[in-house]
Amino acid sequence: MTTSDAIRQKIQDLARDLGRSPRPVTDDDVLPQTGLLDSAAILELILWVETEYDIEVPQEDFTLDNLGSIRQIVAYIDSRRA
Amino acid sequence: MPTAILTPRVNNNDDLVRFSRTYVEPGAGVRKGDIIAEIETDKASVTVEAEADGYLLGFVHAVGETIPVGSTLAWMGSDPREAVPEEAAPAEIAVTGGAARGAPTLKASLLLARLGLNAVDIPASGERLTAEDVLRFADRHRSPAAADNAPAARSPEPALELAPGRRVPLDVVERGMLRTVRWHRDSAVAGYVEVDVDTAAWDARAAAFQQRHGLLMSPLLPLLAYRLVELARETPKINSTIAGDARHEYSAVNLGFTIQSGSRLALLSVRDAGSMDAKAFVDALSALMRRGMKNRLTADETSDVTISFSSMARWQVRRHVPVLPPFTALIVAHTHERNGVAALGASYDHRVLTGGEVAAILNRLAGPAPGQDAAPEPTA
Repeated sequence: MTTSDAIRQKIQDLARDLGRSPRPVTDDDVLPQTGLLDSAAILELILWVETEYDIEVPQEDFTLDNLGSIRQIVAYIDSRRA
Repeated sequence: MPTAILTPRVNNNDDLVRFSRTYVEPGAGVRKGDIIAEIETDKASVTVEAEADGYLLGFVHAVGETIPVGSTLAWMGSDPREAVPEEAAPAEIAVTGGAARGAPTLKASLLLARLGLNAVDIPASGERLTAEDVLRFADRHRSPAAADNAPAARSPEPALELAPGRRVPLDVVERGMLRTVRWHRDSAVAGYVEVDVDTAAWDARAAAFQQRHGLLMSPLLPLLAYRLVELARETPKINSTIAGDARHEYSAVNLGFTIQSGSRLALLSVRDAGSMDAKAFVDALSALMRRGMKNRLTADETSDVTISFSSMARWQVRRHVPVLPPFTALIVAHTHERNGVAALGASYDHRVLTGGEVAAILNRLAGPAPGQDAAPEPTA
């Protein structure tokens, strides 16, 4: 499974936990605008990314520009592991 | 080597205090700053905290006893199996009264404190004084007037006799919640009121703030909580509690914010939130939420709350009557939006606030502060 697909799967899992119907999420969808995840679920997603990919996301990096879409999250992971 | 925790002074003129409550059982692990016990005089009560990480080995006295200020209240150690000095054996194993009377169990100790009874006055039916012994004694000896003030004596908790099981010590967050709900039940005079909220103005305010600062997460709930902080600055009465026969207005606004991570519920404490601007508050709360979800909260980050905010919107809850945190007068609850309308409810201490005062606060909270609706955020 690619990193993108793993993140996509986690998003669907979190949405299901919130009782929201899963629907497709593209790599470029802006996550807060998908309606799948609320703020706490987005926070849970990033905490999962930290654990799964063994990185630490500083508070100042919690921005739409860094982590607003699946593609941006993947790029961020790559940059932190480089 | 065991370390003594000494009995602190509560009032300048009182050399004796009453050991009123325990929060931790002997053998339990504690962190520095965790509350282990409570002592009181006629004028005030104070909590006693662990002075270092370790294990509580035992209390020297039984709950309900009067003890000298400066005497050893409890023993701490680095290993739960450490023995305490013989000259001060813990109450849990000491015989405190007549020849056949045992020390109270923890449940009995809590009940003694709630009913204002002394362990040495009550005969034990077995080796230990049990909650049932206390209830039997209370039924036989207390006057009808006193019984009115002792709900536990009239309706004992159904789980006083426990089926066999495994003892699982509470962690710092769980102990905090236990203290919260127990205070609400025993001490506060809780009321609840609710108003409708037109969510459009708040949604616009949150969207503008999020765009202005490039935030990953919607700041709607933090901004609602920050508006409550602003109102607490303007109206100190909502940021207060009852202490003895006076109202105690807190000098700082420490905003409590509930989070649930998995099955764990925590009350975060944004300390001195009244000194922050909106962005600093949103950042501070976000950082605390991350620490909470990682189970890395310290005692400082979950204590000394003076006013609180809670939301159950994510669970599509339409009405939410929150438990009032200890020694506070107000907690506001936010609920799920339906057809553009959500509810803001509040539990409050009726000794401090009237329903009308709380409704007025909620109606002000129902919309962003004037000029803050969807206006672009000013630069810092």
